[in-house]
Amino acid sequence: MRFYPLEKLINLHDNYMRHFKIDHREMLLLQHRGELYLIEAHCPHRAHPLDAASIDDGVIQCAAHHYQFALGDGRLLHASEERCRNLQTYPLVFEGNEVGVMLDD
Amino acid sequence: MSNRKLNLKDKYRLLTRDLEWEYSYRDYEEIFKQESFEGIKITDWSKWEDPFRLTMDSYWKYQAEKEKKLYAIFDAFAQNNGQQNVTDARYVNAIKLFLTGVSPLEYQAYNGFAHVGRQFGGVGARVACQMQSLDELRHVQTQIHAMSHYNKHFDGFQEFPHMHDRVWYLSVPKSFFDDARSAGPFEFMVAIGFSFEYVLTNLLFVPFMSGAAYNGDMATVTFGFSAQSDEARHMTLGLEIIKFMLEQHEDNVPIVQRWINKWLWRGYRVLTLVAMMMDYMLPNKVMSWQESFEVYFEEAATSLFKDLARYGIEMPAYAATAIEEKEHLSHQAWSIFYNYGHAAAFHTWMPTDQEMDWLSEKYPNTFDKYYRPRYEKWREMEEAGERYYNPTLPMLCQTCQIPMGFTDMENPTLTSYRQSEYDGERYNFCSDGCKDIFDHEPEKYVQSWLPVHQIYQGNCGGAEMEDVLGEYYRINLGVDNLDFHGSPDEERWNAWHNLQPAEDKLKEAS
Repeated sequence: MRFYPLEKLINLHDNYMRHFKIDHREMLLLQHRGELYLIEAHCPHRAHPLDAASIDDGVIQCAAHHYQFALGDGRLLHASEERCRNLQTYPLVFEGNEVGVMLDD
Repeated sequence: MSNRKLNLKDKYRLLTRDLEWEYSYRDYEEIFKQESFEGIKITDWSKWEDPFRLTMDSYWKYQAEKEKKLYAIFDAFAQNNGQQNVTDARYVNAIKLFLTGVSPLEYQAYNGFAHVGRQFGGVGARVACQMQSLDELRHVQTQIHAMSHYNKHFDGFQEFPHMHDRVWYLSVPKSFFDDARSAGPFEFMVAIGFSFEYVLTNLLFVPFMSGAAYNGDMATVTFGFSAQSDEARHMTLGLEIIKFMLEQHEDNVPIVQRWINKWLWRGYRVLTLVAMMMDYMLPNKVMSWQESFEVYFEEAATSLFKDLARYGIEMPAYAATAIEEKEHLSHQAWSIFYNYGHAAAFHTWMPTDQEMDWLSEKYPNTFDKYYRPRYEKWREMEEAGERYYNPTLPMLCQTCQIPMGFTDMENPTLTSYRQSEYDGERYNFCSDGCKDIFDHEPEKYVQSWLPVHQIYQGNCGGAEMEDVLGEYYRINLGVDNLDFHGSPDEERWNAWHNLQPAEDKLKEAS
């Protein structure tokens, strides 16, 4: 496991969203109502980019087919086509004045 | 009087060769400005073999005879209320798609051949283009006349030329032809004459015409037959132009190869509409898209490219992708249209149980695994009174302009995304084929009139869905669009045939 720093704490604010690519993984770091989340960057349904998604009340809704996932644990909440797997979320790690993620090498 | 002894071929030769003269007070390059800029080298136009061999007088005679028969059948169809004898009213939606999506292409072809014919120094090629141009004009007219009868009895036919210019999914075939017409004359001939008319035409016309025959639409069958004898000539021209370019100069080979790669892929993407029509819109099915693709593309193209191999031409680069997609294409296309059924000028619907079983049988590797669960979910939603209409405007491929609904064949549940950066902007594509086309000529494709971008930029009426669909597209909202079930088309059809909707039957029974 290795720590990958993502962002300085001072840069974070509500509605913050940034896309990261670490090796083959693509992730979105976002802040919503004071909470910080790190999720995979594409919808598990058809891989539509989630940086175009809308977020409301702890729920992220993909723009393509309106699939909804809980930001907290990635649970699939609503499907407009066949069901898909849950959204992958990553636990955040704080180190000094930075937030980051632990990933396998 | 010796002229009378000439056969048709000699007459045609005289007709064309007599138009050839030495230019005395203008330079050749000045007269045929577009002949050389694409890099195609022509050393001897007299080597051109005329594919048409029809003189004007015989052309008018033949065509007039065909028209007489054709219009007699249109009249008979109308007088016998032929519209009531098609299999069911869903079928007519295939004809709406044809009139809005395909017939205007005939007009574009008329325009395109008239234009490029003027650009060729060789008189044989000029006359051949003129003849084809006339044919194409005849085709668009006969198609409009055939379908005008349906306009009296069904919705969605009334604004077809207006819609062709504006509606999002019609931008797919329209931009295909715009792309060809804005290319140089030789590229146009490869795009339309060879790729479209020679290689892909059977995939387009055979399904529509046999579809019409299987579904009781004799008017459409007849215009198909009437056009078919013209198509044979068009195919000959398409093949002649390719062979002519390849035989004229070896430097032409790589240019022609690139055009073949490009235009077969562009054409194949347009045929997505046909795939969906065959598998979903015909109440009586002719064959599946996969079957027709195997016969008319895989088999036919394999033998064609075997013939062309002696010139150094290879099977197009993306044929393998097209072949892999054959088990998915129609389902993905119908899903897009079902999603956006409120934004289409024809009706969409979920297949019946029987139709789903037919799809399972025809697509044993894909239908039950990927598409049946989706349809069952949609049917559930319909039954709960929540028929799914997707309110988000989709991302479009910059090249083919189709919403990003195709998936990667390595993992058929994930959307196939490709991207290119050009001049600081990011462009999205549905496939390697579309991306490579863009990358080769980015200055051309950054200008694409993408319907979704245009809506967001405010160029398509107002900000609301109704402004765009109703006023800008001229879809008669609540009438032309939405699901077939509950549509005025369905209601009229049921009234003609004294049919009751299933819900009413249930109510009466209880």
